[in-house]
Amino acid sequence: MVIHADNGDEPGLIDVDFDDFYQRGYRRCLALGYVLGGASADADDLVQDAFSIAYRRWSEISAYDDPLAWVRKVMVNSAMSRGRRLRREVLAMARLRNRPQIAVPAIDERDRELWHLVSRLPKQQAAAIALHYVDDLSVEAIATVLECSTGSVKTHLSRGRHALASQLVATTKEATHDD
Amino acid sequence: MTDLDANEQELDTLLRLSGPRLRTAVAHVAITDFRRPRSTRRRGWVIAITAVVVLIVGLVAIGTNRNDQSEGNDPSRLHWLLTDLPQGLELAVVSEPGSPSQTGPQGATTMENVYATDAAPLGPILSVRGSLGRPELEIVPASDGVNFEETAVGDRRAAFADSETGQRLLYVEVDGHWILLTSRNIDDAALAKMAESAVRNADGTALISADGLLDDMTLVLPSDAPAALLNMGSDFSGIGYGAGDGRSIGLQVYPLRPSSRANLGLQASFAATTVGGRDGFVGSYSIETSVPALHAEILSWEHDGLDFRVTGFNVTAAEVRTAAESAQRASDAKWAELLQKAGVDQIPSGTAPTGTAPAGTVPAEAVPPGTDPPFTGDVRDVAIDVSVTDPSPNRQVWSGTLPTGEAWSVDVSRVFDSVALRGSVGGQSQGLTYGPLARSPGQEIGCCGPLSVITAVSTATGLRVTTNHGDRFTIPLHDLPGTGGLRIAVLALAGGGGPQRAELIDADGNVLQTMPGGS
Repeated sequence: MVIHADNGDEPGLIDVDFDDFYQRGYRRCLALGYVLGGASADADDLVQDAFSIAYRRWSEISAYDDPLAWVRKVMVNSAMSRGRRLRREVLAMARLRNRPQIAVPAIDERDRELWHLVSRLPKQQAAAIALHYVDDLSVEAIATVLECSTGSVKTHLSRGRHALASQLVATTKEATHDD
Repeated sequence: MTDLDANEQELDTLLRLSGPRLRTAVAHVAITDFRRPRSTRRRGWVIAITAVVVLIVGLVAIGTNRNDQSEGNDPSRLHWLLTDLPQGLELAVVSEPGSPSQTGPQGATTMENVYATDAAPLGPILSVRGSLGRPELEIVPASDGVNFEETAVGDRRAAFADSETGQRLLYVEVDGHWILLTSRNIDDAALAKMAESAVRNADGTALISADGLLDDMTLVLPSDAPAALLNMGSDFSGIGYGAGDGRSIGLQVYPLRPSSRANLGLQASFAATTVGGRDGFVGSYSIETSVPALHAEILSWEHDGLDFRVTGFNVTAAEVRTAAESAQRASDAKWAELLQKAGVDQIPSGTAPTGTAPAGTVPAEAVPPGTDPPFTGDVRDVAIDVSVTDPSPNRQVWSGTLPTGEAWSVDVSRVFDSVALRGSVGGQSQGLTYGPLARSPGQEIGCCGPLSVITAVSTATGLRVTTNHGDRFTIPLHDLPGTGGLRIAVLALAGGGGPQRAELIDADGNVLQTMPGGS
């Protein structure tokens, strides 16, 4: 599969087959999947589902400037659907017998708690925060993935941070009260 | 600035620190195999082969009267649903032939030879799989199974093991490559006897020569048959219901094939039963190592040239039976409604996004492993509880309690020159890593899943791990039996690690090796 590149100064042609795209893109998407899915196995399914759809449309997707951004968009759409969440869970269990175990991202306990809280935010907010802080995307790039305005992205980020702050404050108070 | 604004600012800082750490952690995770859906181009090719196979199956069926395809190959005959489900289960998946959810193994063929008798899914059943000539497809004996026991089959190295679902496994080395025999209802002596007749083909697949099989066993599925015949994807319809709490029930409807019962028999141990008045089979298996533990109940029956399977996860046998007996055919309109409701194949619309990557490129890894900034606070040496037992010559179990109070364990399986590590912390799986026992000199510390070091360095005494919190643990090295002097130390940390730094040290605390790289 060939990607036709046109990056302004240096138009060129880069050979990228799907397997290579997957190998390079998997981990880049897994962090987003981890935040959106809230658990590693679900994260893998979220990534696999999105790449699976990309695979089926690879002749089209591969011609995009950034196929990985398209995959991210699929992941966000998928994460926002309760039906698709159920679907991933059912499929994950059905596949469990035949698939190797998936290594869990080795993250610090405090980080895990933080991203777990993020995963419980409204999905647009969670996606905006994951794309911004984990994938290091600009507000403009996030707007493209979420198919919204840059103003909306800023709102999602702000509301997400506010909600997280409130939850952390509540958690702290609860812990203090328990003590 | 209000308090909340200040809090939001703190959150921004927290997220800016935590985001890169998550990226780094993910960069250590093994890339899972892509569950390749059927592409349009490949589908045409497989359809051509399948058409031939269907013709052959049809001809066979005339003789065996096992394949009553009275309605031909109309795909709508595969459309069935369940109407009586446990409370809380709702529609989650509708799967059509060729849909993304029907994924199969890499490549288009089964790559396995399956043998059985006419009694299948009862009686002896055997699947034989070979290493396929590419390093990433080589079979690693320690990778799949528990309760390993090294042995010999003739002059070949071999190892018995049990799969997580209760299959009896036998790894046997042929021509320098490992072959895996997966069986049900075959005792070890008979399995070893058949393994003596294992042959590795030029393409890497493996078989048992006809004179090496048990009486009445025949080849029911060859390794060059389309993958669909292994019931692993492409031409079945399925519908799944989930509760979001780990419970689910699914129905899959396949065209009936001569290999159907053998494939079924490999899944679980079965007994004869009736389902809605029709002869069928009931079986179950549990995966205790899954977190949470997973229990599956299966009911299977055949009707009108179709193979029906209802599988329930973490529901009762009675609930699965009730659901199975409520199976009914879905009208075209109902099926279309279910497909729409499940939202399968929903894809984003609109134009291609551009993101921030340079046009036309696929960026390299954003964060290579081991680029976390070093811990800058005070490092504290913290005592850690560690105990090591050797339940068998091929198994070593490390366990202890972290300073947080969480129990941790690492189960080490060593089979000849390969090793697998399964870690858990606080009852949560930390994943599985496996590979060759011998690690490259200077790179003997393994990072992914449980932390580990396997070393022959005689002056080394322990694995020293510094966490992101600044806690520093030292794990003494322990002999790894059967390795001719290699020693090992392992540790599972919450979330799979969170280690800032792992070091192989000597008795004076001198650093011999470091992970991340450098010294």
